[in-house]
Amino acid sequence: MSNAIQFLEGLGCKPMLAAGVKEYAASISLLGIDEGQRQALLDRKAAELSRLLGGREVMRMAVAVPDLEQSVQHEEMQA
Amino acid sequence: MTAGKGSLSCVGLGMMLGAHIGPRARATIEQADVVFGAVSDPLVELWLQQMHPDVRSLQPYYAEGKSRHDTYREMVGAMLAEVRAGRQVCGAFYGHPGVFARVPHKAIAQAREEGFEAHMEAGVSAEDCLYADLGIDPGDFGCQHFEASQFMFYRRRIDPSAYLVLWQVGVAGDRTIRRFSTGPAYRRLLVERLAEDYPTDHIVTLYEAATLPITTPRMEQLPLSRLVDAELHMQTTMVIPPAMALQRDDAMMEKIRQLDDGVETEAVTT
Repeated sequence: MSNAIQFLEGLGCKPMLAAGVKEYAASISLLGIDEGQRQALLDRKAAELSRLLGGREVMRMAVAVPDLEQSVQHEEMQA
Repeated sequence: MTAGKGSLSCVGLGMMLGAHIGPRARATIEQADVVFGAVSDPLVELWLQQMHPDVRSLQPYYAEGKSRHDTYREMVGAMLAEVRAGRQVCGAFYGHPGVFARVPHKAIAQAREEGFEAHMEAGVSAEDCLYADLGIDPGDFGCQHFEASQFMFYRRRIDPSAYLVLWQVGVAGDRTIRRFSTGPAYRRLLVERLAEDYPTDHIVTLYEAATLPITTPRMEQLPLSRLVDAELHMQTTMVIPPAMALQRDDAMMEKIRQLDDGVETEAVTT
C-alpha cells in the first residue's frame, strides 16, 4: 500500500490526529513519501495528492435511478 | 476444470476513507476472487485497489450523454458474468450499498434469481453522516427522503412539519438519465414545487459528506430561492428543516385517552 494512502487510512481511524496541527505535521514528516505528496498532505490538497498518486481525474457518483418504473421498462426492452 | 459455485456480496465502504469500513466488509473484499468498485473519490478508489489484487473500477461504464439505465445494466452484467463463471464476487460501493443505489439491489436480485448466493453488507451512508454533521435527529420531527427528480415527476404528499431531504439535486428534473447536471431552469421548477409548501426565504442546507479525513463536509446554508444559482454536484443533498410546528391530532388523542381510561378501569376492577 502506498504510504500516503496508508496514512489516510490511519487518519480515518484516528480523527484526533487530523485535528492537531503539530501532531498531523509530525506524523507526515515520518512518512517515506516524496516532497510533492508530503506537501499535498500538509496542505490537505486532495486533488493534488490524487494527481501525484495517479488517481482518476473524473469520478461519477450515481448508482440510483429517479424513476423505477422507467428503469424496469428500459430493462425489459433491453431483454 | 469445473468452476465453483459463484456468489455475490455487495458491501459498503462508508463515506470516508478508512473511517467507516466495517470488519465484515473488509474481509469480504479481501477474500473475494474479484472486486468491482463504485466509489466516490479517486483516493478512495486507490485505497480499494490496495486491498485486493483484482479490483475493477465501474467508473468506465459512465459516459456523458449515455443513458445511466445502460450504465447500470452493464455494471450489473459485468458483476454477474463473473458470478456465472463460478467466482466469489464482491461489489464495493461508497456509503451503504442499499441506499439510493439501484445497481447493488438489482445485481443481488438477479444473482438470486439465477440460483446464486447473494448478500448485502450494510455500510455508513451519506444519510448517517448527515445526521451527525448537521445535528439532526430524525426522531424529533420525522424525516422524509426523496430522490429530487422523482419528487418533481410525481405528486408527493410532503409534511412541512418534518425534515425533507432531497437527494441528487444537482440532476433534478433530468428525465433522460443521460446528464450529470441540470441547470438553473430545472432548479427553478423544483423551487416552484417546494414553494407550495415552504416560504422561498426558508433556510435550507446543501450537504456533501466528507470523503477523506483531510477534508470537511459541505454544510452550506442558503434561502430556498437561491438554490436556482447554487453550485451543485452529483453528491449534493438538500436538507429542508421543518417550516411549521407539529399539529396535534386532538381527535386521536381523545380516542387514546378513552382507551387509557378503559385500561385503568379494568386494572382497578380485576
